[in-house]
Amino acid sequence: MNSLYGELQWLPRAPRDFAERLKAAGGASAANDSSGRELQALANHALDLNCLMKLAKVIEKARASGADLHPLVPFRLAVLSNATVDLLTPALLAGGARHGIALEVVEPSYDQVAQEALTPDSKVNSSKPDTVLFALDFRALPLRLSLGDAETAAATVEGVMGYFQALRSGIKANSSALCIFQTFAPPAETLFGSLDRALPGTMRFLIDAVNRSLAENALQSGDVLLDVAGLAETVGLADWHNTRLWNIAKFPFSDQFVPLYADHVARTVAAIRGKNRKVLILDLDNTVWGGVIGDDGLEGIKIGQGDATGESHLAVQRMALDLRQCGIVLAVSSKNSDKIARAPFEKHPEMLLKLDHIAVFQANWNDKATNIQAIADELNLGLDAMVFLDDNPVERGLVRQLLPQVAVPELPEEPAYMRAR
Amino acid sequence: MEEAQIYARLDEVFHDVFDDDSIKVAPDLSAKDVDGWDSLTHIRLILTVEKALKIRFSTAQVGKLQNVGDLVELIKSRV
Repeated sequence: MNSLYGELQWLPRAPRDFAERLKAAGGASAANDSSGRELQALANHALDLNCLMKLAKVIEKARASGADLHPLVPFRLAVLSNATVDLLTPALLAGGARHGIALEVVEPSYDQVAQEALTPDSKVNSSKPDTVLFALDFRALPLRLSLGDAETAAATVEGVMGYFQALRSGIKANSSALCIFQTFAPPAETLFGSLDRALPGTMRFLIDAVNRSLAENALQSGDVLLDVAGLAETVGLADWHNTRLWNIAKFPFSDQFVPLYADHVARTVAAIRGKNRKVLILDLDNTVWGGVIGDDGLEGIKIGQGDATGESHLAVQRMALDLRQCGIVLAVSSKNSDKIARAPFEKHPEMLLKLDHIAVFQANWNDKATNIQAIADELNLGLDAMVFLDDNPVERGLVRQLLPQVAVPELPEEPAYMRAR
Repeated sequence: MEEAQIYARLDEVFHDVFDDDSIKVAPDLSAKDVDGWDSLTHIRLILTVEKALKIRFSTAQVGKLQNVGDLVELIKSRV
């Protein structure tokens, strides 16, 4: 199992004093002191299910008692599912805090999806949620296998889309909630190997077709798409699914990916509230190139050139440029003199990043936190719009401590794995 | 693994899962004795035990557990 996703390895490990800090935050809430920032800071660690439960208990207690959770923004999410979501809820609360949201989860009784969506005075509709998440798994779909029969297959897919439409209409008729629809992770096993993808009417074919329709509809309908199929594909279907847990308790997927799934739902909710990150701030030495420009000079630093380290760093540059194409702003924060830091951008033949890709270029001997604040001020954006990439764990720790709203992913020592984070 | 070791590990697991350091694990401890030990917490408990001791129980075995004593016997047979 690739532990990057199971253990959320882009987040730092939980601090030793997690339990004490959590208790203190709970105490602060009870005493009517603002605990939002601390809860967000605590949520910003890789936490297992039991820690997530403890954190969620404190968050829920604070929220329910009306405590001040600033700067977390309130959000009511109803979760409708054909599966058991009870384990999900604490992870959702913690994930919400991580992304700046004080989440309230409305959970109706098990497997009442249609009833809840269509009945005007159902628990979900009465609660007037901001958003309804249809957390359905493939077992909820009215699928009829029709091997080799393309016409029936098309009709089956239309039937499924009709079912979603009915659910959406039910919600829209009774509240102004946004709907989040998930794509479906197909079962890991096929019946006919490769034919399952090619032959119409097989399980995989039908699920592929449903996912495609959902994706196409999402852009037009104003619904939000959560690509669970993509998530499951990334970690691997065989690891994503857990038939034993479905049989025991109707869990829709493996417990090891509950934190990951919850993090993605939380990111989606935060994006709905406009809290998506907009700026990528790059350190230079050993992040954007291998080596230290001040010591190694233009000839000594490693960028591409068929060198393993060089290629890894070039991949980071490529990723930054791809993000820029999508509207992310790039900035630089480097502990170097300005002239030396600019040299590779201006003169190194392998550099993909050029100076005019960088909106704000901070190369000086100030501490990074000061530079990051300066970048935020210059761009007129909040610190919670910033992501900071730095290979140095000390720099990362300092920024996390001084500017907890800035996202600072953990980076591995091995540069080849940096881009994935 | 020695029985005493198993009980020591289970103590840690119970404290973590139930968020309660006062729980004392004993052979006759069961769901009716602990606040919050419902079916969902039971699953969380089993998953945590499996992860902590690096073992896997079968669905049938999990279904038969009545108390901590049963759990300890099951663990002994797996470790």
